[in-house]
Amino acid sequence: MSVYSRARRALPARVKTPLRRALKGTLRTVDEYLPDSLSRRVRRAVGRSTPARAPRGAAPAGDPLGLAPGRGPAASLATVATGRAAAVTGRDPESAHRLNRALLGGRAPRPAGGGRRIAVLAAADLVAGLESAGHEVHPLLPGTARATIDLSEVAVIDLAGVAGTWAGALDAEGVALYLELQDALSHARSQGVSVWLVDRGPDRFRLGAVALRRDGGVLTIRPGAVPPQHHITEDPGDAPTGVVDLLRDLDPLQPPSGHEPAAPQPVAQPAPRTASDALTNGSQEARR
Amino acid sequence: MNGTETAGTEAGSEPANPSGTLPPQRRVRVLLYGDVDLNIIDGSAVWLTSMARTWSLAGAQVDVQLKAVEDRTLLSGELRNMPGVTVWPAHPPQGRRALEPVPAADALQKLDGQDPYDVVMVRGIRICRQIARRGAFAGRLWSYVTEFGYPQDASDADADADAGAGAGAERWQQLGEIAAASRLMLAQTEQARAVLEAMVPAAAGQTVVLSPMVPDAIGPSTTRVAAVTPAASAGPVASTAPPAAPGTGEPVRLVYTGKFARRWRTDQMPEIVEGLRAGGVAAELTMVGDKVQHDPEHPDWAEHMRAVMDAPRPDVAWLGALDRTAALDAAAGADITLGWRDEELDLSLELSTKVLESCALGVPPLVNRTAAHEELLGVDYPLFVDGAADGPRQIARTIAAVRDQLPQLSARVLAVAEPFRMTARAETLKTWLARIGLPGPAQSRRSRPVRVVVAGHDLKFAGELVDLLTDHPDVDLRLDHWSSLHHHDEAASRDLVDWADVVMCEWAGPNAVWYARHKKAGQRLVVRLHMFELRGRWLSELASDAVDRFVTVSEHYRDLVVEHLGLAAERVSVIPNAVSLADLDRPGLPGRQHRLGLVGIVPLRKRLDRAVDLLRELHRTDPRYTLHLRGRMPWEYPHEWRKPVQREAYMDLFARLGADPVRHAVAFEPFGADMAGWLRKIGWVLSPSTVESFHLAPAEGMASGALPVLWDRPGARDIFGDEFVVQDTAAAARLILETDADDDARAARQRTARERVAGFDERTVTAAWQQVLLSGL
Repeated sequence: MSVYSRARRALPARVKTPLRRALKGTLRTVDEYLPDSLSRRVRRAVGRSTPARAPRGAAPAGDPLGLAPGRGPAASLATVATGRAAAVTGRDPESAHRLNRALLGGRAPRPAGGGRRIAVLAAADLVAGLESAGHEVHPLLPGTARATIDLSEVAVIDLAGVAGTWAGALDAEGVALYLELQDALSHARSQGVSVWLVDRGPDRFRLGAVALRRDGGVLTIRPGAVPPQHHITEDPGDAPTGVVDLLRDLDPLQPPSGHEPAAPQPVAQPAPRTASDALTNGSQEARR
Repeated sequence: MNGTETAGTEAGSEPANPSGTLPPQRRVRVLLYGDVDLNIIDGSAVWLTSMARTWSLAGAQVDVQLKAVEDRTLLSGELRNMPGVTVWPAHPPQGRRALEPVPAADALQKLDGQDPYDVVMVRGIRICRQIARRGAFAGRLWSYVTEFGYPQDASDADADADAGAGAGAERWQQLGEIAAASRLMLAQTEQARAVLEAMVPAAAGQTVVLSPMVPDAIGPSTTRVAAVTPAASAGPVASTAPPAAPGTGEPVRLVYTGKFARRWRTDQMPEIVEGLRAGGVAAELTMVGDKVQHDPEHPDWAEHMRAVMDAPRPDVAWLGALDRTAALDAAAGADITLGWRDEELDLSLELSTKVLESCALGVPPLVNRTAAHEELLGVDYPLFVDGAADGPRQIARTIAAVRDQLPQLSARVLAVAEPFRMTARAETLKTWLARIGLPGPAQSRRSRPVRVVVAGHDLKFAGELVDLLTDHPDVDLRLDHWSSLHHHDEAASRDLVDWADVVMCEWAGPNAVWYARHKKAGQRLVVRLHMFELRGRWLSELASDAVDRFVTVSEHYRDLVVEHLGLAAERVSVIPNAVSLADLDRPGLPGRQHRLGLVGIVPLRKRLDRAVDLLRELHRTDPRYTLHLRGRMPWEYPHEWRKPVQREAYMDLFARLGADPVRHAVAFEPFGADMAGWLRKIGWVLSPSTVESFHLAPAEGMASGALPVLWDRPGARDIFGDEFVVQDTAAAARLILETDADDDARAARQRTARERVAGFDERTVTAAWQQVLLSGL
């Protein structure tokens, strides 16, 4: 018999009952802050009728999809913030997956007819083209983009399709959306998912478009442009190249502006970017 | 109410000031410092002189602390000759030529200690960090930092990244420290402001755009440019007729000024002239500068550049380095200035001063097409080039195509430069000063400041109040930030209640109960209620007689408070939440009318279901509409997620939405502090709540040019007006579709919205707070 059981037996009923009630009330308030072992001991002390707490990491009762994060979002600000800044919290890398489970209940769509599962952020013509070719298209959407990558084998970002829910993502004002997209693409690369960028349309000069083109992990296709020439020893001729063929044949959506490229430069690995690299006004800050 | 009887108060020494308003104005005093060496004539050094000049034009007294010992006086001499400007030489430690951040901050604090400034404007991240760490110039620091760029990937942004993450993450953290210590942050462009506010929450709402300045005297005539001296008039010079187009056979004159560097494409510029000649267009190129930059990625490039410079070309002149006036003169003599560069540089958030100077000279610049350049010069500007694809021959074709339009382009770019003239920028400075209540009184009439404590667990609605109290010269402000609704450092609170003349409890929670219980004699206690407090069990413990004034955010909520607490109506003041019209008034982005915004979807009374139903209804007619939800998910609020009925309601709603075709028109966006930037893309701010005491989001939307839609509820019409309140979702859809189908109707509603929201402007609201908190003290 445990010490708690002996203590319970020793107490008169007129003391035991109100004491148990008081302890249960306290336990409800503090339990989530207690280490597991102490929580178990306190629950034993107040009697078996107190519901066991779910093991840490498991979805709490009423949350079968495990939506609630461990302790809630941690504040990212060390100082006292006022105004809107007071409401900001740190980034939760699992947020997209939680939301996606809420929306889809954890179901994973299945490819059909041999088509590829392709995550897309694209204009309507590209989506239609992929679907006509038998592929299964999963739209990348703000809030769930990272989770959609997990369902996909290929990702296609079409600069002409950055609109609708992604409107502004290529501009400075939409940098939060851009970073969510970049996070999803980074996740794609870590999963071995190829990321193709369709470089077309009037928005190809926007900040985010320039940044995507310069991203070494993104494979850029410019519709209508002459494809790179292969060395004679590795020329595949007219072998089909799947999604790439489809992307190359797209309408560039603007008149071709270049008849010859900028003077050839030796190909170099992009240098690590620093904050000063993008400064242009010859300021002394840029030289530090 | 009168002053407290704490130690140190001199009885009878403080005159009554019942209105709480500030005495008459005086001249603003500014201390200006840039982490720049004026011996090196470049963009940032020129900025210092331009900034001093602009402050002087705004009527300020300007003291400039130099960073470096003066070896060349070209720029420092110009400063000394400016009216209203005093120059303080640098006195670096022995053996050094320039001040490092620590001695620089010491020098600035020493000057301020002798005679405090209204504004301390500092440029450079290192000096700004040093000052922020010291907590110096509280409420007066204006920080100008350009050492950040567009965060190109997630590692640039993630402040939680593991050790070894890119410099970006650390930089944002540094900027956060600076922003938290600054009254205003300055950004060079609208793009820079947007990125700064998105990445640094503390910068949101307090960042203004300080674009580059061009002297008023710079104009199209070379004679006029040669006369740009410190003694020259600051007023705009009368414009002359635009230059004629190059006649047949006359060469098109191109000029480049600046460093010779690979990413600036300087080695390829002579090929543009060859391309023009091949197309039958005579051309001349003048290259000004002599500094060939080494490129570590392409170690042979510098040698290649020198070979280009040495190759004899009759139509290319290499003038070497020229002083600023001569360089401007060379540019003024050209038909087109060349600003072509590698696309990588298009990721900069800065606007080139050279581009603006070219415009001010009436010389059209050839530049890469970027969003920033499109905003400046117009989408249809014919001298844009594709930084990723265009080479010298395509650029030659571009130039040849506009040859006959050069006079018109000259006039066009001259007009573009006007808002960037120093006189125009000086007016902008004045509006910023007015926004923060400067100039204030000549000197305080009090022997000591009024001691104010603001206490509460959530200060997100107290931003303007804290700014008011921080800015006020007669107030010493301290914050008692409770760690949660119920928890605080009681010892710290005891110290503060002993110290304070005035305590303002933000939210009528246990904080109000505690401060009422511990109130000192002669102390003023003000409590603001927002919403949920009326159902709080603690409210029965509130000694309401100890509260000198209750504040609510709306008339409707005042009525509830009066009834619930049994108060006399005159004890409750209505002060609405503040909206910063100055910050929110930014240009809308294209397509905004088809974007619905909803800020906050928790708790259930926020009625996300109505917003989704509205989207579904709109899509029957027009599938272009999208719904943008900004806020945390319900499962991120433990105390809300614990409620079973509410949890079930959300799960049902999300499941239905997940299977609905409109799911593809819904964007779940994370909450951010940069509301002004976010609202630029939103055309309709929804307020479908069944209960709100005020609801700040639609008010902010109205100030931004968006339109509000509020489902009818008690108090909504009083705050927002009848025109924006609807009976049900079908009526909301009709309002939106009818308005968006008629540009005039939309414009009229936007005017109405802006007029209505003017009453919530921060300046009006802070005056009301001043009255409640400080009158009679």
